[in-house]
Amino acid sequence: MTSISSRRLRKELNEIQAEGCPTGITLLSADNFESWFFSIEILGESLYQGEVFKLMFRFDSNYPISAPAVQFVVDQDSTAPVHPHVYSNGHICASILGNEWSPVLSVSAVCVTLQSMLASCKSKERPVDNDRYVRYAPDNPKKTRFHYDDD
Amino acid sequence: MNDEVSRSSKPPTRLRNAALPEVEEAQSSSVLLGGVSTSDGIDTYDGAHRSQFYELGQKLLEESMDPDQLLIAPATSMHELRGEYTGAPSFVAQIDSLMNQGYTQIVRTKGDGNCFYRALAYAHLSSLIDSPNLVFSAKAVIESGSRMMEYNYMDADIISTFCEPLMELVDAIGSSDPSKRLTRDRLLSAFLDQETSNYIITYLRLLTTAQIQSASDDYAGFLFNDSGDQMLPGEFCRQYVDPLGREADHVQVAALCRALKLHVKIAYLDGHSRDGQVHFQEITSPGDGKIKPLILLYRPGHYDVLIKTN
Repeated sequence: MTSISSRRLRKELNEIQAEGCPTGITLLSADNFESWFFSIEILGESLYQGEVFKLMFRFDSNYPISAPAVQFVVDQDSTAPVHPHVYSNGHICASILGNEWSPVLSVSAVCVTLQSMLASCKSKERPVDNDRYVRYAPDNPKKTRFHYDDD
Repeated sequence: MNDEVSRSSKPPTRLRNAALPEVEEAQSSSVLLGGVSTSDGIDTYDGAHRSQFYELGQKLLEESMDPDQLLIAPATSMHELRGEYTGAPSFVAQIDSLMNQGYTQIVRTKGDGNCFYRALAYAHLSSLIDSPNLVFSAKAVIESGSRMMEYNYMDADIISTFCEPLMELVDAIGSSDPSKRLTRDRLLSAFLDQETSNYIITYLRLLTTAQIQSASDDYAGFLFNDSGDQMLPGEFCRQYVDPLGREADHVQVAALCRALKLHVKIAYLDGHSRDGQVHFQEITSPGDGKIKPLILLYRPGHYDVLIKTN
């Protein structure tokens, strides 16, 4: 990993450790500069009251020029939220993780955006093409070229 | 908007080829919610030229999708470019006209949606190599650009991270130590380095955003999304300026030239003129003095650097 990338991640981690995560987000582990895990819940009124999800961030050596690969963890303990932009394998269709990613964004900013994506959800549904997508999805969601809706 | 560029009557056609996230194994993994949308961005001019423009658009599209294409290539002769247009006499005539005016070389940039920023940065630094007496004022302009970003609530650390690689090159131009001094070869290798090159582009994108937001009254009437709806400056910048790979349109071009106080001439190689005349769009900024203009070559959807050799 290049120095700029790890320097940037080190700085973000320091800030998270010093100032804490945004409300509703908790750092679970950040043992290296390759993958970090967070828990995420929606506080206040929402369709996801009482549910806690686990987020995985994966960074490559071009971070923050290239976006982190972000997905919900799906294993025996966690599931992906049922949401029109979240596939059952945890992959997320969100423009800021794709063509609207900008190097000025950060891990915290992504968490907050995903929180508000969940908070504004009006009906708990999977994306229409969920089954087809999940069957052929690559391991890394960044290899998917999502088509972003406006909402 | 004060800048001359905004008065141009006709927006250039756009080849929306690069606003794609990195795609590997595109065939197997491009499962979409709404279908592939690679062909809808290929614009055409008038019907007579439709197929020709389609072909040229395809060529640029393929170029831009080629992962092996260098971020920027050493200067080559315009004869080479001319050879690529043999089937398009109106383009050949324009290339001939440019060569007759002394524009005999071209520095080509990768068609990855960053071409305007990369071409402009290269042309700017390259002209500073020729005129090291301007380094001092160029530095001051960049520094005031960074301050403008801070006024726009950008994080000072982030600004300086992205500013550093650019400043290092500018500083190296004026270096008194010949072993450190920036030569054109060193400039080229810096721009070929993924990290350096993309950090410089990111900095210029942030600077463009800061300029649009600081003078939002000047730009507000020109900010539209792909569907033609008007956008607020913050939203426009977030979607069309900040992300790497988003092409620059008139507004971004005008804003960045203004922020860097540059004098830029853009030659339009668009096959439009019957007699081979090339239209130059001139962008002047208050405070650009009488400096020699930077010359860019615009082909529908793409920017390269033009070099005048006599």
